[in-house]
Amino acid sequence: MRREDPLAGVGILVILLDTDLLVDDLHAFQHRRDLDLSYTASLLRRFVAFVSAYLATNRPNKVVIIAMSCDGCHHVFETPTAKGRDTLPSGIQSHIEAANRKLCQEMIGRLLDIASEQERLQNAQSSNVADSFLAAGISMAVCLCSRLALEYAPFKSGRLLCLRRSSESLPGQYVSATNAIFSAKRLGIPIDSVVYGKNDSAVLQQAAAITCGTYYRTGDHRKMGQYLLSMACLEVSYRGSLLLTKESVADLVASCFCHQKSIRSGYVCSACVSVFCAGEVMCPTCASTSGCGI
Amino acid sequence: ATRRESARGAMAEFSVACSAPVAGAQTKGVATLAGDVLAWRPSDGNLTGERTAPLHLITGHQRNKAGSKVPSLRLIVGEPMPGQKPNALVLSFPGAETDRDALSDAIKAALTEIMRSRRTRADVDGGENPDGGSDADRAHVTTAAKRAAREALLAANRDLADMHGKLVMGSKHRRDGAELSATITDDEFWASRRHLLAGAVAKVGANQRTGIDNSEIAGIQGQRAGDGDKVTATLTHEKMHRIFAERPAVRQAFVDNVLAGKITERDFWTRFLKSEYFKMVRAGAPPQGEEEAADLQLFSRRPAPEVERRARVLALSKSVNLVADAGDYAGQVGTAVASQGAGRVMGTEDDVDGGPQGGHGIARDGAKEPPPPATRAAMVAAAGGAGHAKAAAAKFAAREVLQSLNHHAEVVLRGRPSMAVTDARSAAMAAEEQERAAWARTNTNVSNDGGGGAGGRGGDDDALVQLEDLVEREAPRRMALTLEDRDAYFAAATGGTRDGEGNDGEGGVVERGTISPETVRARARHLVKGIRLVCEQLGFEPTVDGVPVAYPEGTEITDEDRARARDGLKE
Repeated sequence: MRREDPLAGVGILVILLDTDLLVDDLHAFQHRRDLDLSYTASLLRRFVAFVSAYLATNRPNKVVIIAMSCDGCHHVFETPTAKGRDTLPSGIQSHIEAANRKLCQEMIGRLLDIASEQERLQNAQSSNVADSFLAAGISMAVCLCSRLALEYAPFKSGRLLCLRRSSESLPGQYVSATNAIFSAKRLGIPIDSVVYGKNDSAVLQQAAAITCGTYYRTGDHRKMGQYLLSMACLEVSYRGSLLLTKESVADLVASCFCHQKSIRSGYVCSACVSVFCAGEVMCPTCASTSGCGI
Repeated sequence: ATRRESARGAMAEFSVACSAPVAGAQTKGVATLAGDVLAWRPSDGNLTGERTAPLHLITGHQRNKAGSKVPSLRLIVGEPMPGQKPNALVLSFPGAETDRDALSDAIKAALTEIMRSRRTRADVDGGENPDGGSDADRAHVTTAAKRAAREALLAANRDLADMHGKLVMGSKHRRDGAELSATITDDEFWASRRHLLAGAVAKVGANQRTGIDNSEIAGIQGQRAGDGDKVTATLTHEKMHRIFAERPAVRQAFVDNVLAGKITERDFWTRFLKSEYFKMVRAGAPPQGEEEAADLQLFSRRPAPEVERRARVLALSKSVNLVADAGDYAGQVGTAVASQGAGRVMGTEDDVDGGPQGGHGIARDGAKEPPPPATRAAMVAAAGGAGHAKAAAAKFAAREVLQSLNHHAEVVLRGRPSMAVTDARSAAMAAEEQERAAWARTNTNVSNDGGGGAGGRGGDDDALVQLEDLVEREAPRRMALTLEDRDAYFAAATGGTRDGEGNDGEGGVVERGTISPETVRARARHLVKGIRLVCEQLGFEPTVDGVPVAYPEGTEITDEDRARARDGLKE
């Protein structure tokens, strides 16, 4: 049911947080005996500061955090409605700080809950899990945006912010990730990405290019915090007035549906737009036949 | 020239030494006719230039006059494109005219055998191919219409022509001398562009079935040059086919006399043209001289057997049958033929005993009139009489004219033969095949419809006059789009492969990074410690729905961790 929010213009920010980002590099993790908590603590503090700053820019703003971990996507946190936050008198700084503090406590508490669940994992099947569910996270975020858009009218803007550690390309998730990206494009939800690491993420680059979002990669976690506070806090409508950082050219590489391998040239079914590395008379996905092969 | 039986013994293999041009120079070789393929190979094994010609593609067969300096045989392979030189295979037989004639006769005999086998196959198939030949043969032959459409498309579309040149022509297309090998054949190139070709062919109208010109055999008897006794007539293969189609008696005479070897073809046509000329000159008067009477008798119409007469009537479309009308066909075909037997076929005989069954066509009127004369002689005799007999004779004569017109209309509706007509023999075969196919189709229609001949024939006649432009186009058949293999699609979401076993389809395994459960737990523990440290630094406790969350065991923060974290913050 569509409810009229007394404070018009709600900004919705859905944050896809890769829990892998909060922990040191896997290679370093496996080869260093004495682990340094400073990285994790530093990144967490910067993340909390960013969320607080975003909520402070506009009180009706809404933040939803989805954690992507090795065992799936978890709906971690969602800020209550503006009405719920109106219990404190507005204009008093200390009360605003207290409200944000409570939100941060809830956010941290839920992250801790998820981390504790993973720490207690005993199931041997978890050994097969390697990468976070990026496609599932994007899909979940897009669904959330759609739901919130129905609940609150009119919402100022809904966007997706993906915080991730760079990894090798994910050809196995290309199909589903691309579908999710096109869904976001269809709904007008830009996907912004901040990647920490040495390698670019082709999927997130394509997502930014397709949905008119932004993509930023850095090798210094301290710069991430600065970028988040300066750029990610601002809504899409402000971007026209800003000189955005130069982004690298998106690598529009595709993966074939048959082998999940990255290909530079291939065949496309004219009916279902499936990509294959070898031409076939009948499309394996939709069984449509082509007289001259796909 | 040598002849030997093939291993199967079905068709003899015929070889003869001859010369053919290779790179502009006459080269000695051997021409071999085996089965339905004529092949010429150079005698010197080191030389190239082998030529092959399937017999069914030979559209022209010419040999120079007897006594020529160099006896030659010219075979045209495929249909020549308009304005372009035909693809010809010219074989020379220096000082061996008999060899040339032997090869020519062998080719003709092989063609006859091929046509006979096709006819036999058509009979077995029940007339499914009215024009003779199999669908595979027709599909294999690139008609002139298709070639014209291809040329038109290439001339209109520059990009298409460039692609055609690169893929099909290869180096021949490049003027800069760059090496480029042809990748695909011309047929393969156009096989993937059928939709373009269909449009071009339809636009040109080349796929229309062309009819035959009425004026083809007008004045076939020739013209007298001045006051002399010489009459000059011209006969082409198309005219021969038309004569054989319009005059089955002439065709039968050709088969009985020329093909049987009793007289030569030249003599046959001379006698025929002479007979036609004298018939025109006499204007119905009796022939003068035994020779003229014999010629007239040879080429005159003979009474056809009842089966053939019945088939002819049924084969004739209602829309052009001048003798009968719709009422004559209504429910009468089966009963008329079955119950009244031979001679009681509508359009040829009156129903004397039973009276008119319905309808008001010529076949029905005159119930009180005496039956018409059964033969021409009786008609002539009756015409000399008076009263009803004379009227009946006149009616019979009129019916003959109408039947001739009916037959002419039927021949026109059959159109041109699809098989190539290269000589008189093939013309006769083509005409006979068209006739037999038409009867076979009619027999199929009658057997399918039973007594309701009118209803069944009505559909067939409607198809004859159907104009394609006025027929509503059927909506294109749509194919339902379904996910044939859901597992293959959704397997990608979890990074799996189609078979679920991690196989990449090429014999390898899709590599996926794996993390041991211990590593997962260790990293989670590290994250918990980091959260704990941050909460300590920020001075609050983590909560879930307002309830403080307890930290897992083994995640205590040491002083060393605190010191490092402080140092990290300073940095």
